[in-house]
Amino acid sequence: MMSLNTQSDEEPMARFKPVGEVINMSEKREETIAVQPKFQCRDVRVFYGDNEALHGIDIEVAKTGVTALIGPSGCGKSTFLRVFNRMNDTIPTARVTGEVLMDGENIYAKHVDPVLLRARVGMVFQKPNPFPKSIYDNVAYGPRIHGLATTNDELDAIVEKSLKRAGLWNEVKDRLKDPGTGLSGGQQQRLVIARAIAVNPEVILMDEPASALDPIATAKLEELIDELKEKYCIVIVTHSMAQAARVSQKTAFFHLGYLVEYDETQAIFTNPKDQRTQDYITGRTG
Amino acid sequence: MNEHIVTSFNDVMDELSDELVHMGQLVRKQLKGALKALETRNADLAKRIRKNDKQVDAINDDIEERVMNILALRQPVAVDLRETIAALKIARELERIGDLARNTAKRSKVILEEEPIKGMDEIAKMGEVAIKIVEDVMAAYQARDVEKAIAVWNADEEIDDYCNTVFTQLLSGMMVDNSNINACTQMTFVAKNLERVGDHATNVAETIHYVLTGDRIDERRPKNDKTSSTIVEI
Repeated sequence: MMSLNTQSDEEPMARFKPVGEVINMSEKREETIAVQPKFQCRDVRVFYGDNEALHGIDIEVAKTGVTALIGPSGCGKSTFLRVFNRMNDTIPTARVTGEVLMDGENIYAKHVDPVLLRARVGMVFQKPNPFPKSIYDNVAYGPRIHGLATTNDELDAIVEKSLKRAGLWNEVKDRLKDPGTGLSGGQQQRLVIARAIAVNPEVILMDEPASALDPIATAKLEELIDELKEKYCIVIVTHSMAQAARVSQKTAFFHLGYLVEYDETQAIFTNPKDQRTQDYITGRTG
Repeated sequence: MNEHIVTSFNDVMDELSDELVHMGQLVRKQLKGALKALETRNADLAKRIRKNDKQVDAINDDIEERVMNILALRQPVAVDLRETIAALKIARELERIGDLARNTAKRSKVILEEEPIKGMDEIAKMGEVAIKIVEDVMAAYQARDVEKAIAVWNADEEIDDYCNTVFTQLLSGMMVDNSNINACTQMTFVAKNLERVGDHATNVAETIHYVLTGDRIDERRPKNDKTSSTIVEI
């Protein structure tokens, strides 16, 4: 059984259960954890009705750090992002085949509750979508429904910690009762990230999170991503090549539903191996 | 290679490349002129070569500015980034070759004040090889031809061999006849200048290799310059 105990205060790592042989030595376990990827995808295909949108994706995503998914519109990158937290389940005609292992366990197994999965795998969208509630309640919502706090003090502490981690605390600490929708676009996006962080996720998925933000708000968001990457597995879809280059350590290039190239970001942007990648990132006609 | 969707991006990259080719031609002309001034004992030509070096420096400044603009305004990546950075590096190498041509012209002033020295033929041959290597490396750049670039990279040894011969010849000449020791001493520097031209050209070849393949030439460069340890027995 996959452990989805979101009430635990343990670090995400502590939820990890080594796969395969029994390992007794703690150092050896740590070594195994470091090597074990967060996600292992094997022959992942996504269908919308009879139409196959993703054609057999094989990829491993590291436990921490930022992975950027790039490619032209309609290439399947957003569809693939939504594979990681089963958001495609919400589309009636969508069907996913293949294996998506998170810490070695299939997240598409029958016993996995997608709602609990999404607490572990948070998501931030292109357009900030704060609830029509106060700043405080936006962040407190998740911890409340998942029962992460037993007292108001505990809830206050989670809200403060999450807002601080999202780099928003200093800007909102004196107006926590104000509506979240009254914040600027950039602040709303960081509020949504604080809301995602509040339930102790292990993974944060971002679908073009900065496309509606100005350069300063974008810089603040990128600085936040840079800080979060030490602790979280972040997967980001972006149309901005420069942003992918700035924030990610690994980049995956998708084209027509295929994963064309997946490599260190530095290698993709200085010396891509595939002509299609080169044509796309340099703005050439393919 | 496919064209950029934004045609003005193609234009600025093409202009950068053309400017570099033009700089290569000018530097080759400068080098050829400096050697001709020595061979034909033409002090006026030497003076002109010294003066013309300012043109080479001006093109180098222009290329630096173009590169800055491309980096700031186009944010090139992948092969475009390698091309842009390469232009900056190649321009620097060509500018140094231009300096060596100017220095050769400058030294000819002392050389021409004394009687013609023995060994001028070898210097002239060495100069031809140096000019050829500059021509070849810039042809490799213009054609984006990695094989040609590798050929230049391997050809540097020939200049080194010439340099060793000329150096020994000049030292021996000075021992036998000390009447033109000033000219011979200056000529050893000229030989060294030509040897350095070869080194700069091979640097250009390495840069071309990196632009076209994304990889560096990983072998050790063939070097055969032994002048730093050459002793002529008295």
